Amino acid sequence: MEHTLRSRVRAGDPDAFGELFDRYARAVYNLSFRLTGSWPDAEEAVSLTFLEAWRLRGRVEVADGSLRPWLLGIAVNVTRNLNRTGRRHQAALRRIPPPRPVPDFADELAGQLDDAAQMRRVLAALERLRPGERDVLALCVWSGLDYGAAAKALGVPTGTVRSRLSRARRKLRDLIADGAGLEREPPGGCGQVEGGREKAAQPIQEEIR
Amino acid sequence: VKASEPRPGREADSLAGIAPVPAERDLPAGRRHILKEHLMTEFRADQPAAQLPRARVSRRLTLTAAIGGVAAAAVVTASLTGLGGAASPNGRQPQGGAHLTAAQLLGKAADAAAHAPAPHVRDNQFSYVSSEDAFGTDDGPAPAHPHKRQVWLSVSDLCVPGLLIENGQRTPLDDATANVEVERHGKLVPSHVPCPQRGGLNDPTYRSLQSLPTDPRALLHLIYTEERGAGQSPGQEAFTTIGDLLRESIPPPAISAALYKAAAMIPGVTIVPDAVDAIGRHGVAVSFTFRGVQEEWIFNKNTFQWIGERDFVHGKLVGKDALLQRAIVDHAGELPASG
Repeated sequence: MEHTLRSRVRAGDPDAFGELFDRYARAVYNLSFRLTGSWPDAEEAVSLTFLEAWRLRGRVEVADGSLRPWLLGIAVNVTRNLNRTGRRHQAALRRIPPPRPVPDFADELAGQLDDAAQMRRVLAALERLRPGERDVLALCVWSGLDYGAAAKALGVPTGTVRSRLSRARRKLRDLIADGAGLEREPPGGCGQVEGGREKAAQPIQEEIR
Repeated sequence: VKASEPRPGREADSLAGIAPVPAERDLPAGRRHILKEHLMTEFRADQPAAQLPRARVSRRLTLTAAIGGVAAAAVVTASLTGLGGAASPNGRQPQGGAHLTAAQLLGKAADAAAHAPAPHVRDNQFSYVSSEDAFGTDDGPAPAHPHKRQVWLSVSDLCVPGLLIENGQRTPLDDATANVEVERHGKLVPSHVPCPQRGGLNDPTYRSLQSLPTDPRALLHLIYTEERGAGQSPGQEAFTTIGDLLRESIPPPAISAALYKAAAMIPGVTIVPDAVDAIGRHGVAVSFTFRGVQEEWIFNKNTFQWIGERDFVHGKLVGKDALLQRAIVDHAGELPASG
């Protein structure tokens, strides 16, 4: 029962946060990766997002509905601000062993590097967007939140989410019309789509003028 | 690869086609478990009934291995020309400050700050802060000998990297979006887009501090409102937030003064007649304690300028620092012309 989980989160029940972690750590991890293009940063963001969620638990509203938008909103802020948030939670972070430098398996490493290279190209293309537009893109398109949930997550009006997305779309279309866009794969990377990792290994050509 | 047409009315889908992202991955094998267990330990330790609570810890620029980025211990305040013996504003020689209440001390600190010179600052400049500091790890005792730290941060919300030099190691301080480079004339150059996430109460810049109210009551109300629900108690959160605003930036004089006066209105702030900073300078301090975690701001007994800090956990000294110099400079890595 999500509303029960909500009240337990508000009350500072550590086990409720354990449940939150089980449900949403993966979503936070991938959202942060898509904002940074770095898997190690994304892992850092997972720790910081849950530490921030703990600190901010008193702000959880007594209402129904999934806590996923709330967590993803924190994840966006934490990711945008990794170094600064890291300072606040430095003591806690020190207690967590740093990530191993390389994954256990060579193919996992290769896949991660491919992902990172692809993501950096996407982010370079998205350079034309304002950060607020990129955040909306990440939440609505990549993480699959609806307008209302994204608006709550970012603390902006729903209309702002709508107009930011619309601006983002226009800018990216212009980019492609300029011949400077991404050569790309078919749609499908909507954050909800599992698998298809092989495709990610294909290089994406892009050039920004 | 041929692009498919965006589906009408499906903004999300069309954007997914324009900006294809790699498929989702799980956290690396083993890491998920490690992260969860450590987080659960943090949460359990932070519960009211726990014997060793963890208060929200002030932001400090401390290099953490896990981040590969930064963190920070620097302190900030005082005059732009360093901390050497400025006269008290009214010319009187105060009597050591030991007899003052916390509110009186903060009032004098506010007066001293208000009379500091106001810098002329351009958006492309950097704040520079040097300090000596000694913080233990994992709430262990503070090391006996401090080390020097130098930090440069953009004064504005421009996404330009700052710099940290500590123990001879240079670390660029990139915000998340500062890593983005754009190609111009065939070369990759750092983007100079605004970083709208910079400049909040928890990430102050000179520009954002300039925009805060100078009326202490309005300022404290703003801090209580913005931080509502955060931290462990409103007073603790407000004191820590004000410390963060004073420590890691160079507030305009009127804002420094307002921050000190606002701190004076937080219930539970007490006086510490004699406190020693990281390089042995004695001063008078204000202190806030919550669940065994005590933060002290130390001031020069004559000038009432901020000289350093100490942190205690259940009476054990876990960290201390000493402010050496702060200034506005043109480039990250540039030292001020003179002390």
